[in-house]
Amino acid sequence: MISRSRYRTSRAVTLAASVVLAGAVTAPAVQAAPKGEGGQPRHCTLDLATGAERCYASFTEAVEHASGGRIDDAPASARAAAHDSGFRAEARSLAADGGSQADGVIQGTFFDDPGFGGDSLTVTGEGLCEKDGWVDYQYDLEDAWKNRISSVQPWGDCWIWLYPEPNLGGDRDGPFKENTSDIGSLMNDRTQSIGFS
Amino acid sequence: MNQRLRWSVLLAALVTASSAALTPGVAQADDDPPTSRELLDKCDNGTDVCVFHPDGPPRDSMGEAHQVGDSAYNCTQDTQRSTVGWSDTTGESNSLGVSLSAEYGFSEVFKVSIETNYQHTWESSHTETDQTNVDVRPGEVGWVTREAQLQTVSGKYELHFPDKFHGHYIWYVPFEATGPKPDAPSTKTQHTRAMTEDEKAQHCG
Repeated sequence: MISRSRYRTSRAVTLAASVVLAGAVTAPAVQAAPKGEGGQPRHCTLDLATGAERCYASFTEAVEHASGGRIDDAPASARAAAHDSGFRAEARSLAADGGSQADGVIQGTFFDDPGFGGDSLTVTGEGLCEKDGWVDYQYDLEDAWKNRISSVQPWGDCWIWLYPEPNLGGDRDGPFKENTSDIGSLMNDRTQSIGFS
Repeated sequence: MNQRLRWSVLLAALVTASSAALTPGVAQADDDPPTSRELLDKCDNGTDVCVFHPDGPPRDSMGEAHQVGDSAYNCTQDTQRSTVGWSDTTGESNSLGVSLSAEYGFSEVFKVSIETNYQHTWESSHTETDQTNVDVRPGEVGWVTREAQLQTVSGKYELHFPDKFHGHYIWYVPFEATGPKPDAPSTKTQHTRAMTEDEKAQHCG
């Protein structure tokens, strides 16, 4: 289930409170195909607002999708770009992107391996996190991503909370306020739901 | 207007039809989009947030093999061991074509990110100085090549602006940099070949 919620970052507050405040949006179930052909890492995006998930061969493609095109094209290589004085951003606006692109704000990226390695899942939501002591967005990982996360990156002013059960249940680890290349033993390969606050 | 709705309005450029009713207008295409350099010049110099997100672990590679030091020409009738002294600097390159050693806001953010996430510093350049022996047979020329180990880090900058910058509050800018791998030994190789007639004439008289 994917939902928007306002869930105080305290163990004392029940899930019911978050549902009441949520105006919860439930997205259709999606099935990821995290492993790419030939064992190459797959980089997927998930739009919390719609539940739409797409997977790509490169992280650049994934973030370009997740950002609604508000990035320029990554250079083929730093060496090439360094010698190309004409290299300019293709900063396409959302208005020009059409409806096929996700258009939220990137809130977090989750990696299969420590050091931001392996498959990745980039989550977008409707806006920045508000830093008001509440979980603004939450997400129950689908089966393909359960018990895999080893490193995380918070985006969009969000802090990330990791839980070993769906619906933000069980132990909690966090907040992860910065890029974290190793989330530690408590929640490594145990995460089943995520809160963004 | 609650906080979330206010954000929706502020982020008008970021939302589409699903929330268009909340926005005062539809985002328009920017006819003069900023360059990556223009955007990153704003990092910690006009932004509320400037963060670099690596998109994976550093990738190791070997630099191109290139000659270091002078060539050693053996014009005698005996094999000679020549000592070639050399000094070689491995620099960096990146997708902006500017040195990360300069005190730009984005370069500081990048270097701190590397230190925090990978527990080593980013080296913009590394100089190695050494002497290498080369056994050169009669009538041959010897030389030394060096290959440095490199590391490449790529990822995205996330920039938040207090006011719209070229039509958006938030920009994501890809960035990639390649530089010498810290504390990694380079590969030195001795080579020899027969001198050409021109080389004999020039160096052996």
